[in-house]
Amino acid sequence: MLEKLNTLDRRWIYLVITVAVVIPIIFPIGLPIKISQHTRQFYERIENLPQGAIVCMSFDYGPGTRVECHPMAEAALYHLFSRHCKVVAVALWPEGALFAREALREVAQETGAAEGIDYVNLGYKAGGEVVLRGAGDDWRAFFPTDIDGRSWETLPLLENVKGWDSIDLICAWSMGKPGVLEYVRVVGGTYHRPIITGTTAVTSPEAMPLLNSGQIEGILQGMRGASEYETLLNRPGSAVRGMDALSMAHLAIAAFIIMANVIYWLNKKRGQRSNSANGGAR
Amino acid sequence: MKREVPLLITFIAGGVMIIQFYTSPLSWLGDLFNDFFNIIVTCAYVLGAASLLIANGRKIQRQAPGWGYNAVLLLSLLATLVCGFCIFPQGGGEAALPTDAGTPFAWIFQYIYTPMSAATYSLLAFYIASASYRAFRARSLEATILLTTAFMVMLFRIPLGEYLWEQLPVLHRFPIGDFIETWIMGSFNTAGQRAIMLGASVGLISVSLKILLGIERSYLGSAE
Repeated sequence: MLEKLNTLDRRWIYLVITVAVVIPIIFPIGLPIKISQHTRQFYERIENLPQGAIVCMSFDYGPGTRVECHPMAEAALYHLFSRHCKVVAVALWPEGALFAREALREVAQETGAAEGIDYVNLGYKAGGEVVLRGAGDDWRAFFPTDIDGRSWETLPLLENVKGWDSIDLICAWSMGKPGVLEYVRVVGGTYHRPIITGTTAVTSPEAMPLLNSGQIEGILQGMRGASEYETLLNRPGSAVRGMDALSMAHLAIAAFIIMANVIYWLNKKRGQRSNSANGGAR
Repeated sequence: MKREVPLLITFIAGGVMIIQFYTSPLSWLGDLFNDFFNIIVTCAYVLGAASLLIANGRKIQRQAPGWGYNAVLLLSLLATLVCGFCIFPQGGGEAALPTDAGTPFAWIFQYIYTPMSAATYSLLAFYIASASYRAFRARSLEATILLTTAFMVMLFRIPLGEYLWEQLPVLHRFPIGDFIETWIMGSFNTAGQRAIMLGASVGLISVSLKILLGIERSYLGSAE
């Protein structure tokens, strides 16, 4: 029996994970979500913005991490538009520009925000860190049109945007490089603009030193952070819905780890016993 | 010349960027080189696509093992390129772009690329579960510490874990969520990450200097 469990076919493991993820999606458990200190800090940072503040939102994620970053982006847009803040979206990832368009249109419909007045999507620019430095004091030279090819003159919001100094807060949805680290190095370091971020659960440990040093002023960590933020805004979305599945998957993996270690220790004990028995016989 | 010219370009570009960083009157040089960089990056996309076409085209021509996959890749690339450059939305006006919502390009992105990419990434969950069953063993003190920490972070940073902890007698008084956030993530993890970041940065500086001075030449190709 022990031997069988020790060499358990991986397909059983895959089956358990599938069941653990699918069942809570079909039958939601609705577990209560506690708000962490980091999420509250992120929320407060946006809450303290004055009306009309201009926020640069950077969509630096791809389809693989959309499930974690997109709910954060939508919730933050909802929060900002509800507080009558303005959003200028950019993307250092090519896919990010299209996700920005999707999120902006969806939340604008919900809140009544107007394109060109309350938000602008400047789209993707290749080059990562160099784009941030190059945009510098003259964004217009670097982003001559928005994602749909409209010039600056036709977008009233951009009248007040000259360079990084015109931006009151940077909000970077970051899953890797280029991402929040590039913003901290260039925009935080050179232009001293405040930065908040939302990262995937995997990349959040890398961002923690930046939070502790004050280089970023708030962080949402993975789907958990997104679900906490949605709860704080009283606007449950896909992150809240996904937490039950995530919880069950984590629980299944934890159960596998316990099981594997129990088998390991039982095998080890059995080996020791047979060794001492063999030694005694000799 | 084949070797000297790239080395000279690297030395001048790197040297200028370092000097302009410390001397603000020369910052215009940095801006100029940034523009060069952006032009090169844009050209690199074209070069990348051309390289992909040549490499995969050769495999298809030779009918190398698995050439069907190369054909799928090339067809996908060409279909996306055609949609992204040529098919404009109907009645979209002068400002309409082939990448606008409702175009075939947007459809490919939303209904093919995004779900396929997400599905590939989500396969990680299965591999992680399988790997943790086979490899996550308390074989030594170090492995046990790592295992315990990972286990706590994984289990008690989710609503279900917190709920289960609250059901435990006596132990529920101890705020496990705060402990993980403040101590494990905020202290131990931060200290480790900071050490890695500092080490990597020092390493990066030394490698950069070696490249600028022409000591490290592997980026020029295998012949070097």
